[in-house]
Amino acid sequence: MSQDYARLAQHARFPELKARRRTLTILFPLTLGSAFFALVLAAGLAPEWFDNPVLGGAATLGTVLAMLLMLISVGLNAVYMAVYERRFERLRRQIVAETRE
Amino acid sequence: MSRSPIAIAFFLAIIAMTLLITWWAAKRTRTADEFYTAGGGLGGFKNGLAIAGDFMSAATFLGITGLIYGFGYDGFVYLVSPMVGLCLGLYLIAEPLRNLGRYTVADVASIRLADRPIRTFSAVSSLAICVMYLVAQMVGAGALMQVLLGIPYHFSVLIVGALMTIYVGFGGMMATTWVQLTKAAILIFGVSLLAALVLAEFGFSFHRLYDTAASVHRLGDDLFLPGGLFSDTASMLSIVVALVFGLMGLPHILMRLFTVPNAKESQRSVLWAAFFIALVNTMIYFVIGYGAIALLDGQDQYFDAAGNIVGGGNMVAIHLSDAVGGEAFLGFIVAAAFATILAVVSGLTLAGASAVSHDLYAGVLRRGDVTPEAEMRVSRFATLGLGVAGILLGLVFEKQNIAFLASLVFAISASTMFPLLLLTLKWRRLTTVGAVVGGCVGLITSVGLMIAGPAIWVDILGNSEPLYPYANPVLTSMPLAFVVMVVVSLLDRSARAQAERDGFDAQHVRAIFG
Repeated sequence: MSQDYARLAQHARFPELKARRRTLTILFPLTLGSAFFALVLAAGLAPEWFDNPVLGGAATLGTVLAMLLMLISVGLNAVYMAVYERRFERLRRQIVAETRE
Repeated sequence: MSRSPIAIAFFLAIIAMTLLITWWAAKRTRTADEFYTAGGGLGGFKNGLAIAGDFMSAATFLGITGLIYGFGYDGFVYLVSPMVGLCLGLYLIAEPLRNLGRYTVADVASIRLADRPIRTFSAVSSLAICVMYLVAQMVGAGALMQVLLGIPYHFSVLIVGALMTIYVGFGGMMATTWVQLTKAAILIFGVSLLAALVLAEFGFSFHRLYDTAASVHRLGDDLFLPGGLFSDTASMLSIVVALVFGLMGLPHILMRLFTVPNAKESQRSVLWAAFFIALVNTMIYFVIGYGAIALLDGQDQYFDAAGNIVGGGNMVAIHLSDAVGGEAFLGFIVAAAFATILAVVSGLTLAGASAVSHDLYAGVLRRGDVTPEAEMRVSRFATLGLGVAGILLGLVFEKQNIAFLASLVFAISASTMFPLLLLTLKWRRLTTVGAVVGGCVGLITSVGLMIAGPAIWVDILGNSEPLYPYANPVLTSMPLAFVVMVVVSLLDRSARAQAERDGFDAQHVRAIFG
């Protein structure tokens, strides 16, 4: 690791920055991805299940819930981009500035 | 179909405009940075629009409209999946890729892994993806221009091949970017106007549009239910997985993330790209596809004697533009389709040429001991080579059904570049041996299973039953690539493997700070 990067990594708030980035790369893709694949699975299962009133109802409900989850996820992502990322960027700049000093 | 003077005029105008752009860009392309990344100074909005232009091929506009026209609801997977892929790419890849890389994906992977094997593997995978996608686009372009403008197939392929070689060879990323921006603007305008004209036919009532569509389509109300196109969940899932994860490994899309000045702008690029693609896809799905069903039915001039749509399913959007906007609008939409093809093939050619010049020549053959001028020269020769190869393969594959090639491209990307990139960025224990062995397994499995699947084994080779049941091999090849990468890396106990694992922290810090 070069000296510059080593100093950045030793900053007291670097673990916090890393944790924020971890949230970004794990929580949001997981929410969005799982919601989308739930939607696809529910939609894919539906035609076979529609013959049975109980399973058909469950499939429809699953599709609707997955769509809702996906919409919520997209909304959360938008909020995230507006708020969370700005905080991350501020912290990143602060660490760089303090390390330079 | 059309030798409309208006369509020809629009077609010539597009060629003139893009050549003018190339002439302008060529004067501004002197360094390797300018050639590969347009100087790295594009803003997020502009680059996002260019990514949208790079991604939305003729298949998006013409092909998916045709799918919705034929099968209704199921077409949504082709429209939603790329947006999900972009959103996931936004969080997983955009920032570290920009902070770690310079011109190609191999720049990122070779930071802690062994340079030569990684560059060789990455270049071979990139070339396989670019060449196959290029052939699919060239064959599609030739057939489209033949139908749309009345230009003979061979001449059409030659025109497209020559133009893409000129754009990339002379103008590099700068020309490619502006061709993609122009195309995206034309396509968004054309699709918006088409959607507005369709809605106007129904008094801007979605209810009336959908009612009419259901009343004339063979599926009736089932038009809005799943099951029209995919017979089982696994088939649908295989397409979705290929589109979502394949998109995150496409070299011509990833390369665009190096054209912005910092990671923040790369994230903005992806967000804008997702927005523009969502905008076009939403209009195609909710208005144009169902509008075609409602408006083309009963208009004999768009159907042949057997009752099939003239020119095939891909012509649905073109016929619709004629039905709602007359000959002038038809000419514009034809030009938009042509611009769409040009933009995509240019992006592919540039990515392929970069894999040859930057990874294979500069990285593997010369081990980094090369001047930027020499590298650019090789890149221009590689562009010429790809242009010639694209034309020749386009001519050879004229009579083949090449739909499987596009599908294979996404499968290869999801089974090679995507696992390599994701594990390089996120998994400390990945080693060079694991990455290369797993990637090769992904590549061989995806191609092998595609050959054993229904698209080639049954449709082309004439066997009665496929050896592998699904049209897209990604459900098997992608997990297998990941598993092999992980297992081989864990088993690798060499000193070099340990050094590569130790290098993860430095890479991680750099990925965050740039």
